Amino acid sequence: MPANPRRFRFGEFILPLIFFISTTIYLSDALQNGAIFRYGLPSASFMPIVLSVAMYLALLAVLIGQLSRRRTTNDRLPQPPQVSEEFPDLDAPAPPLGLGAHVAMVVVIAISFFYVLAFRQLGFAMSTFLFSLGLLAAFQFGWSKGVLGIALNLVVATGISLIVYLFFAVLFGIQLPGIGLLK
Amino acid sequence: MIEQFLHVVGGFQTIAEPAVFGYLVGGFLIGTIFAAIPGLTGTLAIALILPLTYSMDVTSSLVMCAAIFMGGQYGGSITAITVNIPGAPCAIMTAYEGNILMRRGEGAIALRSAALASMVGGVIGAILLMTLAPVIAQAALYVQTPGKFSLILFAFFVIIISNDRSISKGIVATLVGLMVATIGIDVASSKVRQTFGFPALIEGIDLMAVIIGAFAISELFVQVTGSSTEDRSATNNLLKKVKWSWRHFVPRWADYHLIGTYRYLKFAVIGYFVGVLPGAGGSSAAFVSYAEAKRSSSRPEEYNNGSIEGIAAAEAANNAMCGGALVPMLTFGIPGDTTSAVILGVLIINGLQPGPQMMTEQFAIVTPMMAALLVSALLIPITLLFLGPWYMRLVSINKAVLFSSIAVIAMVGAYVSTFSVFQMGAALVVGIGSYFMQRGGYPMVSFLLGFILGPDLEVYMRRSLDITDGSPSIFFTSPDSLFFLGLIAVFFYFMVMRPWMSSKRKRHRKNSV
Repeated sequence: MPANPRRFRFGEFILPLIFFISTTIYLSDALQNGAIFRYGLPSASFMPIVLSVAMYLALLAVLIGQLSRRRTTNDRLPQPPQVSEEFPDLDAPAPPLGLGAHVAMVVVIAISFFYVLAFRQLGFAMSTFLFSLGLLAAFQFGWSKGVLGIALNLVVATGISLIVYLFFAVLFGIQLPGIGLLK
Repeated sequence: MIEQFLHVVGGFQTIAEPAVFGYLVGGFLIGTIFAAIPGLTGTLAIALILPLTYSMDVTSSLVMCAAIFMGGQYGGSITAITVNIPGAPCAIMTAYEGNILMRRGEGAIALRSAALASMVGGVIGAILLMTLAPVIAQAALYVQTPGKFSLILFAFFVIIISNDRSISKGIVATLVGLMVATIGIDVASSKVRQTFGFPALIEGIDLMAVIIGAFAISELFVQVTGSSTEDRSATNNLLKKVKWSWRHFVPRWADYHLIGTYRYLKFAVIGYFVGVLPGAGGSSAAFVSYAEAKRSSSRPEEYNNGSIEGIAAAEAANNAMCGGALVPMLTFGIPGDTTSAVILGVLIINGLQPGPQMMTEQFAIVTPMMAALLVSALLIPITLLFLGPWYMRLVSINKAVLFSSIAVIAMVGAYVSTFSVFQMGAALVVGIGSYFMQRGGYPMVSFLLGFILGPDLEVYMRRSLDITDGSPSIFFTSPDSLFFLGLIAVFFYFMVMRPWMSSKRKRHRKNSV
């Protein structure tokens, strides 16, 4: 009996499931593009259909691989921790994320989408300032410093916006959306 | 041949122009600094400057990219030796040997040796690139359309099997890249496809958005979900103890003599040829060279105990790899590693199509880049001399400020490439997807290669089938295509079948005992 079965990790089964759903949507769109061959030659839908079929097969291989690895790991007896004399493995599978990391991730995704939507509406200066402020908050920058931390956040967010503006608009002459581009 | 030599000389003349030389030095410093900071890489640096290449001329862009590439390979060794944090994955072996020397109070010699070996390796790699790339390009001219299709298949195959963790995940990542590349207008018939009912997708996903998303935005998620506060305070404490001046970094003849010309040459050649293989990259070059150095060393007892030779082997190889990785990229349009894949993006964005045609007809465009690779290698010990004491402070830069700035530059960069908010959003979506793919062990280089080479793969396949009225027999009758298919079979046997059979035999033997 496995002593302590591992928790399901995101990459193990959920990611292949997302790929599977995405491939199905992709394939259904490809099938609407018309016949796979026209006058005996591949049409525009040929490549997407071939890729979809290959993806299903590859995902099946991934799942089989994950299941067999999982079985091997669970069957193995628990080993005492060893002092490793081997090289650090930077490619080792990522450890599971804690709740705080998940929250930070969701916050960053949300503020990034907000930035994309607000970039033209609020203009570069305001949207970039808010985005920088949001990112600093996600990194919990200066949280232990109370009021001083808030002031520090405002100063750093302004600094980042200014540096990025100087970098793109002044140094390379690229036009960025101005304030008041409301449509 | 003489014409090509003159082009190379012309390349050196071009980089001697003050503005171009400024880009070279700037690029080198950016690459070194990015690689020295854990979490940042030379690839990320090139991805971030990518939008700016629109406002620069092609030569300056390529010179800057080459300098970042070289600086990026070297910079990882600084924090690897001083605080045992490899700034870049290719510096793992350097961290392993170098940090032992650092703790023994011999950190300066480790840093000097790493810089010297990086310089020697970088110079040899650049010279080999200048001499061999035109020859390979001449041979590549004989590759016809079916051969080009099989060559891209070969590149995919090598990249996929070089993913140690899982071949099937490598295939999935490549297929995702290929699928994303099909969104928009069909390359052969100009028909709109795979838009899922969204008119905005007709323009397709821009290469810039993919590169920025995959390498810059995904890194933001990696950093925001990770916690390294404890590590940083320990690192800062360690750094406070180090008191070095520029005198410690003056190169010494004894450092060079310790390794010897023959062994430097050997490490560099290993690195160069590992770099030529698609997908191998700096880490593989460093590891293979280190393993060979250890096997053939006259001082094997020093290994795992702070070996200068081990550092030299790893550093000479990973910097020589820069020249090697550019060979398949320039001659066939197939990148050797992630950074050269991004440089390929720079060429494509600037309207150049890498391949034998470019190498024979537009060779003068790429020679400044080759020259920049060599000159930036020479800059390594010089900059260490002046900036050595400062490099070590890089690791203590505040993570929140650093990555917030990078995220803003990346997002604005995605916008300025096309002035499209849609591409900005696409970069974000690619970034989120890339983050989860990386966490799941899906290699990003396979994804990027699938995206970049996908349209070519389809065009060559359909053009080949046009020739034979749809019969795939052309891929097995055309000699050049057959050559690459044969290579796939050889690589499959040696890199997949043989290791699998030997592990099966070992398991069988273990069970019977």
